[in-house]
Amino acid sequence: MTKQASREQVAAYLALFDNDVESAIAAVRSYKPMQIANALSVNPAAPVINREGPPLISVNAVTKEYRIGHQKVEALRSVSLRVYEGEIVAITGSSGSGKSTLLQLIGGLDKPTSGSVSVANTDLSKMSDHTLSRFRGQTIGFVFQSFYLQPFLNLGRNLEVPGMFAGTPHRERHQRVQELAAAVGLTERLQHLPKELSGGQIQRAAIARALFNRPKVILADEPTGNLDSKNGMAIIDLFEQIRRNFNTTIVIITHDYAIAQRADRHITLKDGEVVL
Amino acid sequence: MIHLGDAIILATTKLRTRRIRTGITVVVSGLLFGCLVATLFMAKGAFDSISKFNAIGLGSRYIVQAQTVPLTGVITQDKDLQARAQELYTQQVADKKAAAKKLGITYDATADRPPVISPDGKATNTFLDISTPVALQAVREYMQAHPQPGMGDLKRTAAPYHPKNFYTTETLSTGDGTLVTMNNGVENLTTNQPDLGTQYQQDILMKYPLQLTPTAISRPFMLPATSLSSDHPDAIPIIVTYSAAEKVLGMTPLSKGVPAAQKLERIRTLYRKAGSGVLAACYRNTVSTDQIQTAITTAADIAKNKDNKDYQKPSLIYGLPAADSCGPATIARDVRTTDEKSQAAKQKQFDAQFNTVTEPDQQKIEFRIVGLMPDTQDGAPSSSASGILQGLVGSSLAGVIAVPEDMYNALPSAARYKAVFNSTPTSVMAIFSSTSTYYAEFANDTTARAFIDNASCNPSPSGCSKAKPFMLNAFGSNSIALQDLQRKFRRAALLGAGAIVFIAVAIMTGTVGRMIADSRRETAVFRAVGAGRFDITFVYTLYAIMLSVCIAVFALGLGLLLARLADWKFWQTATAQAQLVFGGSNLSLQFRFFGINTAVGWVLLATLGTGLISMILPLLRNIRRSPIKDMRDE
Repeated sequence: MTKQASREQVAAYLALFDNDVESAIAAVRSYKPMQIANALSVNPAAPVINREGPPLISVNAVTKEYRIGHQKVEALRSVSLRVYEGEIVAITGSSGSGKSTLLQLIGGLDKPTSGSVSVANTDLSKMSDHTLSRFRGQTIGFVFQSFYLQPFLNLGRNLEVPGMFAGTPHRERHQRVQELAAAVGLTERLQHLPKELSGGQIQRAAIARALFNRPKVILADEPTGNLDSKNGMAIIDLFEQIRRNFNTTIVIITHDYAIAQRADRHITLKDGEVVL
Repeated sequence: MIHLGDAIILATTKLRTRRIRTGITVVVSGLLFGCLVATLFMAKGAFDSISKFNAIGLGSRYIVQAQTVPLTGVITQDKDLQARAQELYTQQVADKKAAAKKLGITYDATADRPPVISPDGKATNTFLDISTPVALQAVREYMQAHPQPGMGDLKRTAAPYHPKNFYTTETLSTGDGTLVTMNNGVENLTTNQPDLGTQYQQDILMKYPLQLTPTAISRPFMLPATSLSSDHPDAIPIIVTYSAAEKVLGMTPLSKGVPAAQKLERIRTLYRKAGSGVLAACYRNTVSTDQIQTAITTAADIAKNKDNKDYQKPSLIYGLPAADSCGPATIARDVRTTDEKSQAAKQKQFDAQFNTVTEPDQQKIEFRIVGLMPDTQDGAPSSSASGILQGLVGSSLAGVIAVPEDMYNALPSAARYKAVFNSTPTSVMAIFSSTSTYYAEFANDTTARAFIDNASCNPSPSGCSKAKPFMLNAFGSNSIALQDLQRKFRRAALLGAGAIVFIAVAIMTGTVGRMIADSRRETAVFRAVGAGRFDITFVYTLYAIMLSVCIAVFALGLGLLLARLADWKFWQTATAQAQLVFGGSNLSLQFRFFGINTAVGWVLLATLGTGLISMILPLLRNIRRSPIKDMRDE
């Protein structure tokens, strides 16, 4: 199914392709959501991603419905998406467009009403809660807008939390915390409580926590939403650095087009459908 | 899966959030459980103390007293008995008329009241006037035809309950005679005599009946042989209450509000001195008493009329004996004519013919204290704490002066005393109820309680049935009731604990539930970083346990503190009271309000259980929720 792109979307394409009008026009003419998702929204500045092999994340015709009272709400409508290893993908869309729902389906925190979600060749919808928890702990790292660090644990302990649930031995955890703190530049702050850190530091800590179990995928839900633009950009820098260092696939939900522009690909959702 | 140490780290963070609410929960729940713990410590201490004190008297024994039911009400309305009494009355009046005529003396038949009366004058509503000799004679005949239940009946009814022993006590009755204490060794031979009610209150020999008591029952109250005086070998041995001993020893009773230490000291003094306590009493039969009273009133009349020239002294004047002798009245003046003396002799002959005592009899009797027992409430209700304690746990011999049977029978002058105390009962109650009381002793409170509950007579207007011939009561102490009380206390404590657990669950559910509910997003984050439902359950279970442990520690500390405080505050008073109530033969015993009670362990477990119960619903709600929903609530 194809759709006619709107004037606003064209403007967005222009912005995305750095005012490369030819590319933007080509994109509009051959408008197909899947194609746009997989090819046309690729940032030319992004490193070369192997998109020939199997995708790391595969969302196939996923629909998600909720019931609010007697009313049925379709959060996602037959959404399909492929994300490859080492990619940074930004998902944008207005509030209620279904982007967080999509992220949570990819993270195995929710199950689709129809369709399937696979991560690292594993169909999440067929996993038990217990197996899914283990899988999530090992394969996926989450970063939230509100950080969600434990207020009464110092930073070091906070970084360890995924390791606690994974049953990682204490010594190994300690070593991992040192590495991660160094990676995000918080080595000196390990004994501090979250309330003693700045917003940017807290989010860096949250990212470090997401990296604890060396996940293949990081799912970031509005990671810069509570930060100023400078700190926001620093977080994106950090994501790029992580991708470079660990070849981690990163899916970012954002309202900020400047952030989205920094991603390898940019997908927009509207009313539960991929529109670009 | 999360390790225990890590789960504890995460659970600890829960305790540190919402500190005020958590603090209030710990304090309020801790107060509830603390009070329960304190009660258990104190109850254990108190019951242990009671058990120790029980061993002094009869408290550790399970004796049931069997009493016959006086049938006064039934008998006075019995028409056959009334007819028999009327028959006896008619016969007696006829006999007396004949005897008077034969002796040549005057007989006034109206002086002998008829035995049947009708308050409203109706023939259908008649009663036997049991104050008349003829009515008593009819009653005596009736009682001989309908003998009171005896030891055989008790053995029969008690057999299914396997009693250990049987005992009998006998009331030492002086019949129509009186036994009056000679205060300071002298009789009151003046006109200034208290009224009868006051005498009954003041004179222990009038207040309490003398009861010949088997050694098995009296032994626990005996003073040590070494403390007994041998100065009065012929005195009747008696076991008396503390207050009676104070009177015998001439000690002023302590006022009610004196400190515990003073009460204890008084008990010590009593036990030290009681062995030398001797009570002199004067026994007089009715003739002797009448002659003494006549002597007193005549002397008073003469003194009053000493300036009255018209006053004529009686022709026969009795004189008073020495006040410390308990001797017979003397003849101070006898100026009767020969005819008057002849008439008096004939009257005496007439009285003797109709079973009236005619010769004076009196003798001085000494009693010596050989044992002490706590005062009883004499059945009167008491609203004071000590009164309630006395009624509840006291060990005593139920308002009597006990005469140890073996010591009494070994007295050199036992035969002489038997002449005094073998009088045929003439008082109404003495006829109606046996002078013997029977006892059965059981091995434990259960059989004793069962015997009382199942075999005691529930008196109807016609008395008791043959199957249940006795009124049965716990005797000597309330050890049976005490066991019952302990069981009831346990039940009450259990109910109280249940109520407290219920309230605590409500409070803790509020806190734990709020805490878990508030942690929904955090739970979602944990789920996102790899926590399974079991991990989440583990962390919150540890949180609930830690909260419960805080409450348990607070409750235990508070309970210990309260119980210790109560013990510190009340043990001296309670010890003094216990010595008063139980008997102070072992003055080293202390009544404590603190004892290690294993039930406290159950309370602490209940606290833990309360925490876990309070956690279940909120946790179930939490782990069943989709973490996404909680994140989306943001």
